[in-house]
Amino acid sequence: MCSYLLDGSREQPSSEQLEEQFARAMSKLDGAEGPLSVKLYTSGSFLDPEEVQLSARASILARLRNDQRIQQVVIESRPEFVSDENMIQLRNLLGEREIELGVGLESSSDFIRRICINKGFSTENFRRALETARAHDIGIRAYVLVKPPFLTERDALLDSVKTARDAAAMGVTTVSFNPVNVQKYTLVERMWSKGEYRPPWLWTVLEVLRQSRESLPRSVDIVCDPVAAGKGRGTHNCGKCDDLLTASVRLFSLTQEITDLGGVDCECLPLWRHILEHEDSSLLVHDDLRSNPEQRL
Amino acid sequence: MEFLIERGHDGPARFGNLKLRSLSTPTPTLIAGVSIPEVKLTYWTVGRDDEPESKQRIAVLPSLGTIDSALVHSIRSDEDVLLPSLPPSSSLGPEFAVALLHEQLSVLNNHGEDLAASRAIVRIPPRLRPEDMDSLVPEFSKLGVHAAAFLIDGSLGPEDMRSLSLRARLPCNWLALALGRVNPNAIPLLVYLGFDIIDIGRAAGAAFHRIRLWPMGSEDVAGSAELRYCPCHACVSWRSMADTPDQLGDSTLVSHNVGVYESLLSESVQAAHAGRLRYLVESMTHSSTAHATILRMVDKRLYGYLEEFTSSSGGGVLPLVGPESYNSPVVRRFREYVASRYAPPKHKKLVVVLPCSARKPYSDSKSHKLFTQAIDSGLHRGRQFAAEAIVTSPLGVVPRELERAYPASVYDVPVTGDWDAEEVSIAGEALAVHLAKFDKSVVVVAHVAEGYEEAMKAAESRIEQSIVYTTDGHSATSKQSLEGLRETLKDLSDILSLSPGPRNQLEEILRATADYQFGTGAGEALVPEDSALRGKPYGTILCRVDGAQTCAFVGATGSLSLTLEGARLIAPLKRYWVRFDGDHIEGGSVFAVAVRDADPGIRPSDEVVIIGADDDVLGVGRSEMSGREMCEFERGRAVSVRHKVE
Ligand SMILES: [Zn+2]
Ligand SMILES: [Zn+2]
Repeated sequence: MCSYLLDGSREQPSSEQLEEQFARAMSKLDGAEGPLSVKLYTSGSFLDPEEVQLSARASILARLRNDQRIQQVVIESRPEFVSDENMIQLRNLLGEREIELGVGLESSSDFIRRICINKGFSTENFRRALETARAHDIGIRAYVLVKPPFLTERDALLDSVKTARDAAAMGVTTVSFNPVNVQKYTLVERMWSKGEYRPPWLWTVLEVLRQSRESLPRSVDIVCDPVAAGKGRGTHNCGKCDDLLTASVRLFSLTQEITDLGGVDCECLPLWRHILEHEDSSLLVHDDLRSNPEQRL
Repeated sequence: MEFLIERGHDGPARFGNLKLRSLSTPTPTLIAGVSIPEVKLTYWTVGRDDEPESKQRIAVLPSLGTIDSALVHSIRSDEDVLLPSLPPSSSLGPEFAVALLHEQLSVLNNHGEDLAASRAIVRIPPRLRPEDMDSLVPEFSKLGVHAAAFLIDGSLGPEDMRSLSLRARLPCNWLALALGRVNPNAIPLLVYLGFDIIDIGRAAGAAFHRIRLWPMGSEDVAGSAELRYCPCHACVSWRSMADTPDQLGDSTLVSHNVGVYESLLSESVQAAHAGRLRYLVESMTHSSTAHATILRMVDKRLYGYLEEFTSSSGGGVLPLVGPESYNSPVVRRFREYVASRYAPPKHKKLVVVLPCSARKPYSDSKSHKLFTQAIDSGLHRGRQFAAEAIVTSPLGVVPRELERAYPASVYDVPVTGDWDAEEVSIAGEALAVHLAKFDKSVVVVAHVAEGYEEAMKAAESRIEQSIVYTTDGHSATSKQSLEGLRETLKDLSDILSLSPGPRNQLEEILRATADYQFGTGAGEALVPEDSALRGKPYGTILCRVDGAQTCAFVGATGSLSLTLEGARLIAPLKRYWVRFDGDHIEGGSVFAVAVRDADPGIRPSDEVVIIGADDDVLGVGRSEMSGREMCEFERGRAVSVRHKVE
């Protein structure tokens, strides 16, 4: 997610701090057996020299190269840093290993990315980055946001599915769905506290995964590791069915089997269906609190 | 869409007829989604919901950004369409709201071929600034749009107040929809504020939360062992099958909830036809504090809107039960008219301040008969020098001459003698303003006790005349008090050396009523010095000038009706005029389409003067709508004509 949603006020770590942090993380892998997959999650872009200095980048990649257990490396980047130069460097330093670039596509709708997410690149930028990476046999993992603000529940559902299809058509190797969670000091939090935003229903996430899996080729992995699932700030349902459904989402991410999704028939399902319909026509945000004043008292 | 507003008003509430795909739907009416088949009027989101079979339906274009030509093209060409927007947010401020309206304008401009503006309903976000609304709505009007939807979040808090305030700024002839979370207890309020279509999707939303809605509240079915009794069809059939709460299915709850909305809507419509909708709205304020709060805000901030459409007469008793009535439009308008329009006859040397009576009109009550006796015998033949002012809550002050005027003759309040602070302050203010119109040498005889006396004391510092109190701790109708009043007046009669003379009660009633009805100066214009008056005080009074009748006072309504001659006398005041497009009125009505212009001060039921292009009087009659409506409407009866130039 971008600064608009996160208000990323965190301080930029220095080159040494980054390397130290990386070394600490790697030390946790001591004793683990290969093959391993390593994901470098940075708050923005690993390939942005302002964010990760070139010296730090080189030394981190060199360490990965020297570890024979590591088979796959996932690196996060914004599309504008996916250049031939950077791809050549990655290929050179990581050799034959499988490389995936995690890029926050968020939505394939320029309108939604601009208005609801406030990200400054177009779908066309994403496509070009993807083709540059593919030329170096580097895959793209598209991060797709489930329910940015200013969308109805059904807008969010349909947009996520459409984004996954568009991303697959462009040639991504993995689609990773990120249901929005309400983080501190963000616009989303302000809206959420006023009842103007509700994180996506778990039913929505399930439906997004099911419809995406049905329409995407098997070669594209679909994964989702929801943050704060079942909590008020994360994707959630009624509270009764949340644990089972969250577990089914995680299981699906491993097996890619649609039959692993869901498996619970909860009484909150008709409410969710009603909300899909009623939010579209009324544009009223169906937050948890005001929908049910009885339970509040 | 074709939307016609029909005859009749109760405040901004109106009755209309909406033609959707050649099917007529009377308004106000309810709307809900395809999953609630109990509701006839349906909205459905194009490309997302199943297309309903019903003809009475409105298509919804989904969120901005997902609109493409194919989607717009797929809508039937005779179907009405809710324009796309985004869920509103208070966090993004008024510029965002303006942008949402611009987006809707560009949808209309980009898809004009498939989507005629006359079929479009614009969505007004609550955060739109009033001035932006005023500048943007004409842009939509120009394209041919005449329907708008407002969001109600159901908390009846500041966001809902914004939507209500924006609704009040809509052109009169536009259709108004309330979409969102509307609880049953808000139905009378929304009808009162002139919403024509009200979303009851909440009926299903509540049911799926296991909530049974009631007119004044709700019931958590899941959490209660003993459920409330309900005679509705759905609940009866549930009880006949099984009567445990967990057997109360979602569909039963939806049916029940819809029934509650339907019954409140029909109660509201019937109340509006009977002129008692405001009373129903006031009664509903006891359903929640939020409800009471928003009505107070509405009275304060939207008074102009409420008053503009509130009829100047009414049938039957007008109950004013509690504080929610203190600033209702008929009450506040009466206070303001008396304060700004009433002018006391110049020869008065005494003002007797009296308490009101439970029975109306006052002079028919036992207490006022006693007061009249005491005043008559105290002053005797100097009677014509005494003015009477009746103190009352919440009308403030009623000059005796206006005791038959609406609503003074029909209001009904719980009378205990104990007044709250607001009542004391309202009446005190009215007294101070009223007495300031009399000469400083006039003596005020305050024959008041309890709350009435408190009001008098509250005004005292602002009263320049000398005040004599006559009750001395007793009730105003007690023997001692009445004797005190008689003695005081007798003494004053000597001190002021009041000379005997005739009492021009008929003239005073006519002039005061004319001023009240048509504004300052009307009394002198209509009832000049040399007019000949016939009739009984508070009965029927006829006024002739040079042998021609000018007007008649009708005691039953407390109002004047004009003849053509009277209309010519009033016309130069340039009030209550309706300019007719033509030089001769055909038939018994003037229709809005034939009104070129009208005094914006006209309210429904006002006596109005119909004039031609050269200000020549063409007729007189009774208005059927407000002056602004006469100008904005293209259809409907504007004036019922009583007399016209043949
Ligand atoms: Zn559930
Ligand atoms: Zn029932």
